[in-house]
Amino acid sequence: MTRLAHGGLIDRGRTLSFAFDGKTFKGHPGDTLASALLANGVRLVGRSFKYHRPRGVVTAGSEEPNALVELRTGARREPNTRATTVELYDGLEAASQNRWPSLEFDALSVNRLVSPFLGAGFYYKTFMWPAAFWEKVYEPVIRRAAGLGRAADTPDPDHYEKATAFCDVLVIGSGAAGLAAALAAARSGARVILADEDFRLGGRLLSERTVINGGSALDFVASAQAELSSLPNVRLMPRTTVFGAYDGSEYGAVERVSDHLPAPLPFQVRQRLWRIVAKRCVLAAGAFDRPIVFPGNDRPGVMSALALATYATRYGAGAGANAAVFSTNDHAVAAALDAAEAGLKLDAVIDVRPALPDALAARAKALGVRLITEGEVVATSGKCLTSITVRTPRGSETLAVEALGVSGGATPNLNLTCHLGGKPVWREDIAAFVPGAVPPGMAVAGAVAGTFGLADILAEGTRLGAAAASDTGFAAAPAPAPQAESTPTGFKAFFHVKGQGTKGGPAFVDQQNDVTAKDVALAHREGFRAVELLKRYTTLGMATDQGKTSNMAGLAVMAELTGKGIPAIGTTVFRPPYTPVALGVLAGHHRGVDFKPARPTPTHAWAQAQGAVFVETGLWMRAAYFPKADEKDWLDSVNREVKATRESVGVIDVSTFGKIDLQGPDVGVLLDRVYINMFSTLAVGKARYGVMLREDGLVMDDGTTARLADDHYVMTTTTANAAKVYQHLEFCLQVLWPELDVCLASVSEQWAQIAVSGPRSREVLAKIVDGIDVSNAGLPFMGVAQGSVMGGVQARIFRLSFSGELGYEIAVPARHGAALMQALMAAGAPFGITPYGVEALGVLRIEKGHVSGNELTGQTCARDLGLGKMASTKKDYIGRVMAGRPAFTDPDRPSFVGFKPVDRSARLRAGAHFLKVGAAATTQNDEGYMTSTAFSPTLGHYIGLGLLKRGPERMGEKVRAYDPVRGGDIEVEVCSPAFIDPQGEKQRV
Amino acid sequence: MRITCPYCGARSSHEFAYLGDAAPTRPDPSAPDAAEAFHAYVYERDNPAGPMDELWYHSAGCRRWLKVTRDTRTHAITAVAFAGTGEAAR
Amino acid sequence: MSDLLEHIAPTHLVPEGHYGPQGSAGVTAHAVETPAAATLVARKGATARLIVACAAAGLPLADGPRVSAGAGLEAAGTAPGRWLVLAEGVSGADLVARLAAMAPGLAAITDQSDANLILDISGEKARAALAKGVTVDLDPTAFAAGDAATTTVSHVGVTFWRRDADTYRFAVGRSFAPAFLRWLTVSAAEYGFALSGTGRG
Ligand SMILES: [Zn+2]
Repeated sequence: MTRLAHGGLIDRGRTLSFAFDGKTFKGHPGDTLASALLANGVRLVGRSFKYHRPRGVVTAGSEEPNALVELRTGARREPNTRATTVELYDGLEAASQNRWPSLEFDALSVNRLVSPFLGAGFYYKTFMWPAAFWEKVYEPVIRRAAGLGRAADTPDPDHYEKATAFCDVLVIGSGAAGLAAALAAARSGARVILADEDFRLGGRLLSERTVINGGSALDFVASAQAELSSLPNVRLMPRTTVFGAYDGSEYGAVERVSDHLPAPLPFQVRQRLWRIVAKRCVLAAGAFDRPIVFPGNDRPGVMSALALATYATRYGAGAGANAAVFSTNDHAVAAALDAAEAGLKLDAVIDVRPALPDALAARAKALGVRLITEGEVVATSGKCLTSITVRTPRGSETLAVEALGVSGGATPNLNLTCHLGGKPVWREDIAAFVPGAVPPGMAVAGAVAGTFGLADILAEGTRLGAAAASDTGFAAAPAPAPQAESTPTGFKAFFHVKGQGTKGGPAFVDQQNDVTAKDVALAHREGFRAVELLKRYTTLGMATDQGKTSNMAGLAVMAELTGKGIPAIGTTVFRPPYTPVALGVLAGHHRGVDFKPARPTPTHAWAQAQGAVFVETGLWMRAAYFPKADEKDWLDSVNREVKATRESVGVIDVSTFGKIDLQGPDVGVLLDRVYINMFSTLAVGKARYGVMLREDGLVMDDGTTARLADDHYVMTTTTANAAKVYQHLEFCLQVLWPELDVCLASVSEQWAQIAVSGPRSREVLAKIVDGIDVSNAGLPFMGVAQGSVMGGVQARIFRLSFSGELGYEIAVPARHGAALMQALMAAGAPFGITPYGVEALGVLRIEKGHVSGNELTGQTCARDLGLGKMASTKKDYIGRVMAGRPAFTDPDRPSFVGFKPVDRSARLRAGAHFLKVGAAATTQNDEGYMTSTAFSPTLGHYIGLGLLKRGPERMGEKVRAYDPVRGGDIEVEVCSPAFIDPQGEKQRV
Repeated sequence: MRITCPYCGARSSHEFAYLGDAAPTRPDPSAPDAAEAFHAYVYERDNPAGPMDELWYHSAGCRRWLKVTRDTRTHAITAVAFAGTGEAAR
Repeated sequence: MSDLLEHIAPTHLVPEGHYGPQGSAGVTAHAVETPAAATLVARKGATARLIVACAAAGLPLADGPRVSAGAGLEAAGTAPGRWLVLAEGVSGADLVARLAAMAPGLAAITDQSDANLILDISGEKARAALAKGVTVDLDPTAFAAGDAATTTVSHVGVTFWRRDADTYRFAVGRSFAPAFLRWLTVSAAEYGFALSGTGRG
C-alpha cells in the first residue's frame, strides 16, 4: 500500500471496492482508477502497443499515453479507457490490455528482442514481399501482437443524446485562468459556460499549495465555484470535454453524465453530446508536463513530475514507497516539494540546472530532500522501477527509488486552437510552442498561452474573461483579479539525455506508439526529416493521444540531429477530437428504429390490421403487399393483388406523393416554364401529366397537376422528390422570376389520397360520393371533381390511371384517410375489392409501361424515356436549351422500350446489360440496360422495361440480356413498353 | 457553422441547402448563342479563394433562397440577403 | 433506442401517460384537439396591405418570426409574408373563409387543419428537454413570449412559438408526429414527462 497517511481530496470515510485483472482492491470516492491503483501499489498497468513492454501510469490526466484499460464488462466493455480519467466507483471492473497471456508474463514481449525489425518504417519495409504473405502470415501475427483493447461484441445497452447550448462566453478549463475568466465574465452578466473535462473544478489548483486572496488555492476554488453556481447566467459543466472548435463559434463537447457510475440511473443517458454556440471563448486548457527522453524512461514508476505530485497532493497516493524527481524547471520542483509536504517520501530532486532559486532550495532543505544539481538520469532498472542512475559532472551514482517524476517543462495544451487551421508558433523565451492564429472569437489565457506565474495567470484570466464579456455587450465594472504571490517560473530548455548510446535501454519518445529516439534517428538517416514525414514514417504522435506529450520530444530529437532548431522542424497541427469520442454519443437518439423518422401514411394502422407487410420508401412506411394465410410467398400475394385490380377493383394509399398547392394569377406561366408541356391551357377541372427537367436537360421529376380554379392548381410530385420539387419551384419564384405572382404551399400532410383502380372502380366510387356525377361524361379521363364523400367529407376526385385501368384518386383531409379507406372497402366488398401494396403498384405500372424512379435516374432525358414528343415547341422551359445538345438527341442513345424473355419461363432482372446476340460481353458492345422488371400475372411471364440503343426502331429484335453478377445471360425480345392496352382504351371507359 | 437568415435569425448550417455561386444568371433562351450561354450557366464556375456570393436555401426554415457572402478560405460569412431581387417581402 | 420506447411502434403516436421517474412531471405535453389551421400567404407585393387589412379585422400580424393573436385567431410568422394561422372551435373551411373575407384578393389561403399535430409543451424543465433537439437559442433573452421559429428538431421540421412564459406550442407534420414524440419522450423522461391527448395507443 502506498496510500499516504492523510490528505488529498478523497473521502477516506468511505471505501470503494474495485477489481483490476480480477484482483480486488480498495479505493475512496474522489479517486481515479489510476490513483487507486497507485495507492494499492499497482504500478504495472499495461503492455505497450508494439514491443509489449511493461508500462505504468505516466500522467494524471486525459493526455495519458500508457494506462489504457478495458473498463467494465459484457456489453458495456469499453476499450482504451484512460485509467487516469476514470472516476472510481464501487464495483468497478477493469482489465489491462494488449497482454497475452497475462500482464505479468507477456509472451509477446519477445518482440523487444526483434525490435530491430520493428523500428520506424517497418510496415513499409517488412511486408513488401511476397504479397500472399500479407493475408496469411503478417496480418494475423500483427493483429495478435499489436493493437489495443477489445470492443464489446454486443449492442451498447445505454442511451445517448445530443443537446445545444448557447452562451456569450465559453470558458474551457477551470484552473486558475479559467476560474478567473469565468468569474470576470459572469459578474458582468454575460451568459457563461464553464466546462472542464475533470469531475472536479480547479485544474492544477487542486494539486498545488499556493496562496490566493490570502487563503489556500482550494479555498479559492471553493468560493469561486460557490459564486458561479449561485449566478443564474452561469452553467458549470464538469465532466465535459470540449473536443472540437468549429466554424461559426461552435464547439463540440461530450458530457460524461453517467461514466462515473456502474450504469446510468434510470432515464439517464450515459453521455451527452453538446453543440455549444459561443459568441466568445476563453481557452484556459493549461499545459502538459513535458517528458524527457532518456534511457529506460518507459519503466513503470517513471511518470510526469506534476502527475507524481498530483497523486500525492490531490489523491493522497504515493506512486512508490519512495521517489525522486528529475526536472528542468521551478514549477516541477515546487510541485515535488508540495508532494513531499503531503507525505510522499521524496529522496532527491535531480535538476539539470547548476542551481535552484534560494526559496526552493531552502524549502527542499527544510523537507530533507536532497538536491542534485547539474544532474541527469541516464538509466533505470527493474521491471517496475527499483533504481535510477544519475550522472553529474561530479560522477555517477545509483539511487534506489520506486518512483521517478520527470518534468522537461511545460507544453501548452493548444490542441483546440489548431482546429480551424491555426498553426502554433515557437517562443524561444519559454522554449515552447504557443497558439498562433486562434479560431475567431477565441482568446487564450494562462499556461496554454505561455503565461506561467500564478499571479500573471489570474490577472490574464480576469482580463480576458472581462474582455470577452465586453465584446458581447456586457461591459463589466473592472473587478480586481484574484491576488496571488508570483510563483517561480525558471527553467532550462532540456529535452534529451545524450551520450548514452544504447546503454540503459531504449529511450522512448512516444510511449503509446512505441517510438524511440533511435527511430527518430533512423527517420533522419533515411531522409524523413520534415515533421509530417517524421510523423508518418515513425507513427510518432499518431496514437489515440495525438502525441500530446510526445510530439515535443520528437521534434527536439530531430532538431538536434539536423542542427537546425525546433522551429525549423515545425510542428504538426491538431485536429478534432481533442480526446477520443465514442461513436454512440455522436449518434445520440438516432439508432435502431430511431435512426431516422418513420412516416406512417394516414391508413397505416388500417393496413397493419389487414396484416400488411411494410417497406421503407424514403422515410415513409408503405404497405408492400397484403399476404393471405394460404399464400406461400410474397409473389403469390402480389399476383393476386394485380389480378384483382385488372379484373375487378383494387385500392392503394398514395398519400406519400408530394402535393403542392399553387395559387395566383401567374401559376400557368410558372408551370409552362417548369414543365416541358403546356399547363396554362389546361381547363379548370382537368389534370395533366407533366415532366419537368433540370436546367441541364435531364428529367427531374414527373407527376400530374390539376387546375382547381382559374388561379389555383395542385401539383403532385413523386414520393422521393417532394421536397426537391418544392425547392425548385421556390428557386424559380425567388431567384429566376421574382416578378411572378404565385403562392406555394405544401399540402402533402394535409391530404390523404387513395387510388381506386380497375374496371369496377367507378361503381365503388359512386357508392361513397355525395351526389358527384362520376359517369364517364360527368368525370371523364383526366377530369377533376370537387365536392364531398361519405356524407360531408370534403374531397377532390381525380380521374387518373397509373395502372392503365379505369381509375380514380380520391383526396380527403388526412384525418379522414382511414375512414375513406374503410368506406371504399365496404363499398367494394361486393366486387371483391382488394387492397394492394407498392409491389403490385410496381407491377401494374411496368405492365402499363410508365416510367418511375428506376427510369428517372438523373441520367435520362425526356427523349430517352419516350416522352420527347410531349415537349412543347411553342415556349421556353427549364432544360429546353440543354436538352437540345447533340449528345441528348443522338439517335444511338439508349431509349425506352419493353422486353419479354424469348423463353417465356425465364426470369428477367433489372440491371442486366443489353448486347447484340452473338456480341462479346465488352463495354464497347454495351447497348443499354434493363431498368425495371416484374413477373406479369396478366401475361403469365416476366416482363421488363429498359433503355436500349435505338430501342424504338428495333421492335421484335432479339437481344441478349447479360447479367454476370447474378449469372444471368438470356435472350429477350424488344417490344412496346405498354404491355397491356397500348391504345389506352381501358382507362377511358 | 451558423448562418444568420434575414428572416429567421442565426441558425445551424444544417438547416440550409447549398447551391453554389450566385453570380451566374439564366441566359436569354432565345438568343442566338443560347446553347453556349446555357452551357456556361450550367457548368462553368469560378473557384475563388476569398469572398464569394453563394446561393443557400433555408430548407428547414423560411424556405427563402439566400445570397450568402462567404469567404471560401475561412468560412467567415460577412453578409446574408434574400436572393433574387434582394427584397425581403413578397 | 430507449427502453422507454421499446414496445411502442415507431409509426404510432407515443400513448398518453407518465414517462420517467414517478412523481411530479418536469415537462408536460398536450396534443391539442385538432384546431383549424391554414397557411396565409401574401400575394406578390401585398404584404403591407394584407397586414393592414388583417389588423383592421382584429388580427394584428407581424412580418417576422412572431406570433400574434386576435379575432379568435393565432398567427405565427413562418416566412416573409407568410403565416400559419390557428383557430379553435371552427372547421378548416370556416377558417379559410374567414381569412379570405378579412383580406380579399391579398393572400393565398390554404387549409392545413389536418397537416399538423399541435402540441403544447410546458413545465419547469421544458426548456432543458427542448434543448436536446431544438438548435435555436431558447433563453428568455433570445426567445421571448411571442417569438416563433420554423426549424428542425431531431430531423423533423417544426414551427413552434412561445405562447406565454410557460408554454411552447409546436406544429409538427402529421406523418412526422410519431418520430417527434419519440424524441420528446426520451428527452423529457429524465425530468418526469406527462403526455396527454395522444390516445391510449
Ligand atoms: Zn430563414
